[in-house]
Amino acid sequence: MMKKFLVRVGGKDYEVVKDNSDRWQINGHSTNLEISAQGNGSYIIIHEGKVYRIYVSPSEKKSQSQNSISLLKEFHLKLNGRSYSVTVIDERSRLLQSVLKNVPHGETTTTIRAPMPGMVVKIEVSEGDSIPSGKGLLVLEAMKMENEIKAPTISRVQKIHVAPRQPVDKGDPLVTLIQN
Amino acid sequence: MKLKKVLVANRGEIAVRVLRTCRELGICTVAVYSDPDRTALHVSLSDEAYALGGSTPAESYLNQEKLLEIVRRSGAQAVHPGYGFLSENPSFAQRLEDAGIVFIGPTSAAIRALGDKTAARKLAQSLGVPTVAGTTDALRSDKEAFKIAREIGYPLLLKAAAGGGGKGMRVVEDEQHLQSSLEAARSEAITAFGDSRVYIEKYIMSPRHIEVQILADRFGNVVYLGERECSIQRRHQKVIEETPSPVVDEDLRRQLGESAVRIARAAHYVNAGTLEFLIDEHRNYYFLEMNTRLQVEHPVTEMVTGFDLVREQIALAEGEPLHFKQTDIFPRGHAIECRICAEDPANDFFPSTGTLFRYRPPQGRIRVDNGYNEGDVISVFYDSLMAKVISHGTSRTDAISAMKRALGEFEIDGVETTLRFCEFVLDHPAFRKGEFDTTFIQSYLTPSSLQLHREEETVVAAIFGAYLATRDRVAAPLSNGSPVVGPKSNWKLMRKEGMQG
Repeated sequence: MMKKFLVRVGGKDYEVVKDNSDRWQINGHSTNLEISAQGNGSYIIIHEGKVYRIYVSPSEKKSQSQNSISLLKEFHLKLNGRSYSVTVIDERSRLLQSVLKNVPHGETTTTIRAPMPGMVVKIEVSEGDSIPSGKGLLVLEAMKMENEIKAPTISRVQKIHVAPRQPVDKGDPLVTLIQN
Repeated sequence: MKLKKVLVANRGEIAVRVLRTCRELGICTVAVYSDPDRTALHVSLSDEAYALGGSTPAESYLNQEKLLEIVRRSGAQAVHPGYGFLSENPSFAQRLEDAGIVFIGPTSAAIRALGDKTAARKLAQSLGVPTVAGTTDALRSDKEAFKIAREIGYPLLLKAAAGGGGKGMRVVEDEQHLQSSLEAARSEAITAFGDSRVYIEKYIMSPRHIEVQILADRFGNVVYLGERECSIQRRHQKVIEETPSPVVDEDLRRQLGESAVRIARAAHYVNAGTLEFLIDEHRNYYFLEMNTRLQVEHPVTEMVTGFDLVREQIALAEGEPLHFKQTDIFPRGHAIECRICAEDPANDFFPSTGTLFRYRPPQGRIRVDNGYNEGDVISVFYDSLMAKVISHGTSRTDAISAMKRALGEFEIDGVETTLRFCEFVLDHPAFRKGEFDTTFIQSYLTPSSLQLHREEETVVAAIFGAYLATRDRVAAPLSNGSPVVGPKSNWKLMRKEGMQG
């Protein structure tokens, strides 16, 4: 059974196909990839002769991607020790989405949540702003230190959930961003 | 007196490190623990363990009453304080002395004399050891602050007299900011140390932070064990240390070492101690302060000298004379330490808390001083330091290569860490050339420094993501973001996932 996926990693989009004989293609190129599960979320991958150590994180991340259609899947990987967030959508879900038209292809929203309890000191963006990666969103005071919460990627500010001087708990939504 | 039973009044990696030497010496060990630390590594590695109760440091590791009671109950003859907590608290040392218990460290009188930074500066000046221009006494009034500030010039530094770890410290760029900085420094100092006294120092631009390890016995013998370069700092706290320093030559090493010995001897100091110096761009050195305890970064000195500093501390506390002279110390090669902390370098080293879903320290030709197990929780209560990786090589380049290899193998998931930040430093041309100072992070660290995605890995991640998406049951707990509570349920989750794989 052939299956097609659209995958987004680090701001890049890939079309990944699993063919009828369980081989993989990426952007139209066949590729040799062996996956061995080691248990506890560990995998060893051999791709074109190179070895990769992967660990699939079970942790709930600070920013959890959401989508109006829950057929979009997000995985947090440690690949050779580096962190990769992978968003996967299969072809069928994408078609369904384009029919519903409420979420354009590839557009995802990320809600930035409070990393720990604290108080909002000031807000540095407005709803609708287009912002670069690393732009300060707001300043949170926690553990007697002021800390700037920054945008993880290039995005647009969809919604600001908090106001200055508002106390927040760990995990409370602060700002929702749209990436496309 | 040979010690037979020692209580370690600390937690985390330093408690583990001290316990291990005690066990090597055949000394029975007593651990203490707060409520969240019941199953901590330091507890599992000791012979006896007693609950302190509570979660906050004040309820547990800083609770002198409880500690003294446990000392009595366990029959421990001595207490090793580690670093932090009660290690530089003269009243705790005094209470142990009064109870006839050995404090593995200096006397309460020496802690009191040298722990007051203004007193230590005065002592150094009286011995002809250079200090940074500034006040030798705590400021008596704001008026005095303004007067002195005008004399020594801006920028200047306000520091807490009872301070350490960057708390109560403020850089003041100009007179306009002096008043507000005075207030901020005082309020921080009183919160952190219960003592609002601050003093003024000339701010040395782009200094290197270099310290000297000394050991002293009660017979007046004092030796220095070379220097440690500690200029790579975040939030005024060290993160990478090494020995020897790339800027210290034989001549400067001897000058620093002899200055350190002179101060320690004049203070009648006994046991291990560290004297901190600033070195300016012209390689002038200035005495800053003395730390009357074992330092976090002591292992780099151990690697190059071959001495176990905790073992030496115990022998000195037992009243033994130093068993070697200055001329018997031959440092070999180069050692580096990286502190692996639960902090987010991409967000100004903000502390990161959570469950260590994955925690696999590296192995091979390196040393790891670790305080945690997989499944442990990193809480808001304690220091963010999880482990120290220490490499030793024939040369600086060799030590850097070994460290890089080791950090690449360290697997941690569940909290943000300083791992990738340390790799960034080790790869940076300024660090490689040894040309850096305490402004390294503000000069070189940018948000893009740490986003180390690699093209070939991105491709593998993409295919692997598609592979995971074909396996719904694996994906379920991840994609719906169901919160996972406590380490127990996570283990179940991980096991389930593993069986499918």
